[in-house]
Amino acid sequence: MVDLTSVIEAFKYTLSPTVIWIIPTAMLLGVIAGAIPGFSATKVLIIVLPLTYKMDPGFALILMGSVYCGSHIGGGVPAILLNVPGTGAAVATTFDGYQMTKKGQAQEALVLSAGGSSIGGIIALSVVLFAAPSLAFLALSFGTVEMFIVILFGLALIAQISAKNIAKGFATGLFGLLLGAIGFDTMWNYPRATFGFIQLYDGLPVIPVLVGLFAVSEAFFMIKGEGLSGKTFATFKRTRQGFFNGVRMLLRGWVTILRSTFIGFVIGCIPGAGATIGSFVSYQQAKIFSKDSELFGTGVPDGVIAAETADNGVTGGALIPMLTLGIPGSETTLIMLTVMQIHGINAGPTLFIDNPLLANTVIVGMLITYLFMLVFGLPTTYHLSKLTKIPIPFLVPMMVVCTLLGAFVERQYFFDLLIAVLFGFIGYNMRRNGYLPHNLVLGVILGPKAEQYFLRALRLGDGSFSIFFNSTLSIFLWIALLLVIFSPNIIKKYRSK
Amino acid sequence: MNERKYKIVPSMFLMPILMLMFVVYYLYTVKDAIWEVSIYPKVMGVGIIICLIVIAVQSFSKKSDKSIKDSDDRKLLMKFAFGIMFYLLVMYFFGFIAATIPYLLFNFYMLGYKNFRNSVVICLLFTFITYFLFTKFLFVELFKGIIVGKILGN
Repeated sequence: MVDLTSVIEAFKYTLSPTVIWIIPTAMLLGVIAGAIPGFSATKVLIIVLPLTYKMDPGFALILMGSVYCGSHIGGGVPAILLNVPGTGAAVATTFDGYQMTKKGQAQEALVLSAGGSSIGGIIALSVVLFAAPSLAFLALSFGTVEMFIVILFGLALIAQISAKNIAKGFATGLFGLLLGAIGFDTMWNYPRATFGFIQLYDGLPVIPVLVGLFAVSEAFFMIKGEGLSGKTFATFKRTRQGFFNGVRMLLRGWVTILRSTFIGFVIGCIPGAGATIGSFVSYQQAKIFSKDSELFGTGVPDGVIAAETADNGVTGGALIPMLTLGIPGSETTLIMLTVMQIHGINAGPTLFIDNPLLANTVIVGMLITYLFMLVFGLPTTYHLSKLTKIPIPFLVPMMVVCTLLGAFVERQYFFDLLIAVLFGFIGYNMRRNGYLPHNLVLGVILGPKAEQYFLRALRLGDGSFSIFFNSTLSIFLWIALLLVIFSPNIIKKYRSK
Repeated sequence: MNERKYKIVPSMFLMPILMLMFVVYYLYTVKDAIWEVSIYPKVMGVGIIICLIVIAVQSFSKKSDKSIKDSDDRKLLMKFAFGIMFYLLVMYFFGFIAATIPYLLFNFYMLGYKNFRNSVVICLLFTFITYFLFTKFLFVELFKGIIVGKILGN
């Protein structure tokens, strides 16, 4: 049963003048961190962690929660404006977001991103606020086998977006999965395909690969053609009409918003699944259910809504295992749990009984962060979209410098800069010849997890594949996966009749 | 016509060749490993090879590739690519600031912006603001370069 008194108290505490100011400040920090590839929310939280020792625990957790939400919102901005995803979860936003920018709809895409993110976050957190303890079962239902199938849902997107050339699509996806398996294997620490570089023993770093495939290769495409001096890479419409168009598109996509929030929320509840899988699965579902599924990837508003809403629905879901079971689902929630422990608060099944005010303060703080984004973030989209006005001779070199810095920031190895440039050349060649870099990224991000859960499940089953079909949930997920893979053809045939 | 084909073929087959070389190298590195280590890459490797065979069949059955680029584009792209590699080389020895300023100036000019005074101002502002943002605000030590690092004593 919901403790309404503590919910009201949590609102009172969060909205008090001594606390409320931290939300926009932390949110802005998070947005900046999310927008710079490689500079994740985790890094900001680690920087501010020592400051939280002497803070009130509620205040410290609001600060952390706001940074966390801000980073999920920020990742979409460069993905839309420059085809450079700030985080892995924002890769799905580039499919349609950047295409909208190229069509002169940058502001509309930013409104869809900020609006979808905020609404997704608000809905997910509202559910958490009123049903957190009773949803703890979700986090416990997903074991190793189920996690493996959930990852396959994300990978099934490869089949969805490779419709134009299935062989090239699958070759790229499998190549990505193999690249993702560079480094020590998860069971025996056996080094695989490291080319003798110790920097690759931990695996291929994701951010330099992202930077190379998207930012560096995009720079090559931007500079093609003559008379670049005053040219911009996209049309900027000198009107504020874009804002209202974006809001209209957002309202028309309400079904996508609800579906994507649900997907993001459920995936967020599963420890270790993360926002990247959430946004990919959500995008894939939006494509399946859309009447214009073949237009996805050409600048469809629902594509942006699906990716961004699910990305932020995950933030709400991630609080379920963190608060009710004390299980961190990601690095960010791990740091939040650390803050709680520093202050002598144990997250777990008794948190909502022993300390309901604090538990609700975390949720309310994040909820208000999204409300702030909705009220103050949306109007700034007009100014952000002005980035498309910067002439190519200035934009491209500066973009290369900034994104290469992003590749360097994650591990601070010079080697990562070389990886970014190498994948820039590979990405350019891929795109010129009809190979999709998105598939490669999907493989690199999800591959290590897929292998890890696959082998772990096989071990649990003593090498028998029957373990993959032992539980009711796993059978249900397998059927759902098959439906996801084959439903586009079924729906197509049904519609053609 | 022959020249046209000469330009297309290497670009078209670069990815398949790269993938094939990587699969062969990967499988070579796990040839002595136990099955738990090698099963996953082997499955992926076989999958890639099957796809590459299909791609090869498709490529030979098609008459030509549409993605031909004119020589002006090619020159500019080559200059841009060498610019990035040279930028990293200079950064490796002399660090972020010493590499970024000439890199930006060269690229502004190469991509068509000829006002030298404005270029210098923009490039200096951008370089130092970025440096300040990363080192002082985000606490990220940017690459100093091995020569500058030695001079500074770290």
